Amino acid sequence: MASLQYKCLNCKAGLEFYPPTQKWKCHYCFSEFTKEELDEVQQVQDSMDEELPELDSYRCTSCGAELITDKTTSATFCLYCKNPAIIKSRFTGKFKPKYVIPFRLTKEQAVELYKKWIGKHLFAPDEFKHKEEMEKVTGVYAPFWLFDCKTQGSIEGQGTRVRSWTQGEYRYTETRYYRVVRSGSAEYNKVPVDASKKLDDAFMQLIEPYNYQDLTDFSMQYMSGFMAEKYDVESEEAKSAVKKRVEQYTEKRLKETIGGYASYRDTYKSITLQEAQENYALLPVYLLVNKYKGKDHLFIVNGQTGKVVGDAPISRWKQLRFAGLIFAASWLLAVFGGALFGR
Amino acid sequence: MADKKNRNIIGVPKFRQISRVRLCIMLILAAALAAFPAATWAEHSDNVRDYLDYLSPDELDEIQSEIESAVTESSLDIAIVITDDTGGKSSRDYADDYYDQNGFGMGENHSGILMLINMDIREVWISTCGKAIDIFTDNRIDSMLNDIAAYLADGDYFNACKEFVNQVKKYASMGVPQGQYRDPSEDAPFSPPGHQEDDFPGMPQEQYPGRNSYSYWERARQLMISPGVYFFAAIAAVIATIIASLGNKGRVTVSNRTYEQDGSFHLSDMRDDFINQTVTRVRVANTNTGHGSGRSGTHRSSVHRSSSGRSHGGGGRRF
Repeated sequence: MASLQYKCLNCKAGLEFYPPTQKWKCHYCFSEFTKEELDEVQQVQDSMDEELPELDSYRCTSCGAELITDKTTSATFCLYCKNPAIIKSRFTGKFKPKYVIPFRLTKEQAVELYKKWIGKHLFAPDEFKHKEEMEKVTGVYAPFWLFDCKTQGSIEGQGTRVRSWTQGEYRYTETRYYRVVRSGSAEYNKVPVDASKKLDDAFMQLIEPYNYQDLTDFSMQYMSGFMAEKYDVESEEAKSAVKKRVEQYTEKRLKETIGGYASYRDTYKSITLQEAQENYALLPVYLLVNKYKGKDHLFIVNGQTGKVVGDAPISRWKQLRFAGLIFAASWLLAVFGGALFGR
Repeated sequence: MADKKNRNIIGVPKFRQISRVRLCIMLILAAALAAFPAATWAEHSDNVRDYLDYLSPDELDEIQSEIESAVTESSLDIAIVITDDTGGKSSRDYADDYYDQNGFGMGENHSGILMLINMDIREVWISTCGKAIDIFTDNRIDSMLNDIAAYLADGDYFNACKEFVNQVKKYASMGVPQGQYRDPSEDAPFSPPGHQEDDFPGMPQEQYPGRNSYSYWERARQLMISPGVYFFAAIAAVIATIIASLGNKGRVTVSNRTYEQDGSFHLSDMRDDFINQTVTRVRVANTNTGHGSGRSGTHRSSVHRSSSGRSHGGGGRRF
């Protein structure tokens, strides 16, 4: 089956979403189109609710070559003609996302951020500082579950207030004990949980927060020109992660209302997730996976805000060279600087 | 244009971390400064300055070698000066200045003790500095002077010097007596440390003309073969490398409020119930533990400032 491709209304070349203008741009004739203009010509949104069968292979609409994809890849580029290709069946039925935050950052900006970031890592192997490596930064729409949820709970603890004074020959210390009780409820909107097994949960949490002002209803057009993944973590599984997170939030919130004690310790707590409603959303990230000595090292940029997270590989050789340099410098400093003192 | 506008939207978060390189340099400097006091020399070959030739060369050698063993044992510098020309200075000032200006003293607080036999007015004066101020309390100095003055009165300068060295050894091994305190003497009140520049304008204390100063290159050569320097450099290298290797994956920038619906947090119960109270009392120790000047001075070390601004202790006796 053929994949989906948005074509330039003027020259029929592949259109790609262009973050700076938030429009679709043709890289051949430099025309730009708004979403409305595209919607008029191609009406594919309608069919997204019904489930399309998953096929063994997909072909590029432009050149007819077979698309090479992972099972979870839902938007990609044709390996041969480099045109964007969208696999419709992976956006339909239960895989139809409700929201998307379109990219704000261009790939060039992401590469620039990577350059700065890797530059700060003294011991990163040189191969990760080369231009070819930097060009591997890829814009990906990552699958997330956004949970709207309600929590309720109460905490109890013991607080003390201490007063002391001196009278005559004695110093008195008075300790008053209090039983502290706080109960309350809170609502949380769109708490994101990483829905892809490929991506590291901890890193995905570090690139938060996204600005939800840009959150729009999902449309496949945004996928054009980027990679996209579909979720492979079910919402039930994600729910346990969000439960832990919001329960902590509520506990902290309740604790913040306790004050005026010299000391406080918990004696009891019970916080529960009351309701959780999930929505499937695709959020933009730029990704670069550095493979070094059999280990993956991730570099991720929030595709909307530009927040950078990642861990850089460490080259033992560079570390050793650095240590040697410091040793030599310290030695010189101690000998020739030290000789200035003494008598 | 569009590009520029977009860059503003991104607002790349600026991590407020001190540059690692700067941190390394700071650490190395700190370690270097800490290492220097250890590399202070206190080797003199002439701790006895007999300007009046009261001592024979053999006696000089004997006292010198005794002083050298006492110096290593006590880590106090020890000096003896015999003269009849103090340039019009009092014994105390001459002894203090002689000590300061001839580069005596061990460690950063120039610990050591000097005995001046001032034949001009037939007075013996003991001047202490640094750690020696605390070890040699007024009482100990008095008792030393008693013994030494007895020899001096007989004109036995050799045994007076030996007695001095022996007593220094004895008290140094006993250490600082319990309850010892310093008492700035009334006639020469402490001047604030900043004032010391008035006496020697712009001249750091390290630059007093040393007796047998090593040249810069000799000192550098000595340091090159000192294991401490290698040890220090190794520590610096390891610390700097560890710091530079510490990964910083990124900071969490969401809080418990980020996703909270505004105004949704609702407290349904908020109680602070008083349960009970305890009262404890302790007898307050008598507060007049301060070292009043009127206190009898079994463990007092009188201190004054010499013209160089350093603190000295000491005492003297006519014979």
